[in-house]
Amino acid sequence: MSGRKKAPRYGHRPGHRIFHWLIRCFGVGPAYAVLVFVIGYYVFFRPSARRAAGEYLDLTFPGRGRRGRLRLTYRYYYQFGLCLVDQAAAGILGPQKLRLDFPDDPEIRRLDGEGRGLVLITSHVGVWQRAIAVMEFMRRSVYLHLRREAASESMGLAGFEAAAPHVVSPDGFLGGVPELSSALAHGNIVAVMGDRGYGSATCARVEFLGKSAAFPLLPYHLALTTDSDIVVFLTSRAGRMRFRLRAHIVRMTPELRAMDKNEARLLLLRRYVGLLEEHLREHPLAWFNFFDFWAGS
Amino acid sequence: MELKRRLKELIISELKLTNVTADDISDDGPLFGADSALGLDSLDAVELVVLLQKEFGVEVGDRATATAAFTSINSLAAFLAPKIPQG
Repeated sequence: MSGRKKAPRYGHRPGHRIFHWLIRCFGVGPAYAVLVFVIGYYVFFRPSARRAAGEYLDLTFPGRGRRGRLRLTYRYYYQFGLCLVDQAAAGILGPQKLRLDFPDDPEIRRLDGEGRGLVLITSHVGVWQRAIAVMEFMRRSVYLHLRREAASESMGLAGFEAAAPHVVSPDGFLGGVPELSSALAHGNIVAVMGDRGYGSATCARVEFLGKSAAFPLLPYHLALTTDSDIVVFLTSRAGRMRFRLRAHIVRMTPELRAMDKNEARLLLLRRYVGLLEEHLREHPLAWFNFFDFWAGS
Repeated sequence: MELKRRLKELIISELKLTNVTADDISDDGPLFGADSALGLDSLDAVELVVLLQKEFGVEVGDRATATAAFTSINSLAAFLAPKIPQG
C-alpha cells in the first residue's frame, strides 16, 4: 500500500532547536507553554494540518460544528505536541526521564520462557518507540520493521540499554520480509506497525471506526507462518513525561493453526483493530497517524 | 528429481497456487512482483523462507541473499545447489 501522506512535516530545524534548548535549560514545562502558540499557528493557519486530522476526528467525534471542530483539532494537536515534547525530552535528558508504567505481566514472562518468535504489534499511539524497549528483559534480538529515517529519529528515544534493535527497512526487494521471517524462526522479536503498511505491503480492508480502512496483513501472516505469538502494545500519555503501556497477548492456538490462513489472518487483524478501537474510545485524542487511512473506501 | 522441478512443485503446493503446473513456471522468469507470472508478493516470501528452512535446512536471513536467491527458479536453484546434498 503506497498510500499518501496528507499531513505536512511538522516544525522546522530552527523551531526544533528552540524546543531542544528550552528542554535542556529549563525542562519540559516551558516547552509545553510554547507549544500552546505553535499548535495555534498550525491549527489556525495551516489548512493541511486541519485536513490531516479531519477524517479521524469526524469519525471519532461526529456532528461537531465548525467552532467545535476547530477546538477539537487544537486539543488533538496539543496532545500530539505533548507526546513529541516528552519524546524529545527523553532523547535530550535520557530515556530514564520518561516513565512508562507497565505492570509485570506473568503471561509475558511465560512467553519469554517458551522461546518462540514474538510479533510485537505497535501503533501510532503514545510513545510506541519506548514501548518496544520494554521487551529488552527477554534478552532476545529485536528487529524493527521501519523506514530508516523514522528509525534514526526514534531510536535515540527507545531507551534500549543493551543491544539496539536491528532496523529492517520496508523499502526495497520484498520489504525486508525474509529477514523478519528468519528472525522469528530463530525465536527473536519482530516489531511492526499494525496501523500503517509501508511500500508495497499487502493490506486488507476492515471496518475501523465505522468506515472501511486498509491495514497491513504482514504481522499476522508472519505470526501464522512462523508459529509465533503476538503481543499488541498500546501506550497512552498519563501525565508529564509519563505513559502507560498495555499489552494484549494473542497466542498461536491449535485452532488458529488449523484454520485456513486467509481466514486466520483476517481474524487476527480484526482482533487487533478491535483492540485499537477500544484503546481509542478510552483515549480518543491519542492516535497520531496522519495518513489517508480510509482512502478508497 | 531435478532440483528446479522440485522447487516448482514445492512452491505450487506450499503456496497453494491454483491453476499453475510446474511446466507453467519458467526457469528464468521473475518469481515476485508485477512482472511475475506467478504473482507472488511479500507475504509469499514469508512462506518461501520457512519452506526453504523446513525442506532444505537453508536460511535466507538477509536482504542481499534474498535479492540474489529469490529472483527466479534458476537463481533459487543456484543458491541452494551447493548447500544441499545432491541425490
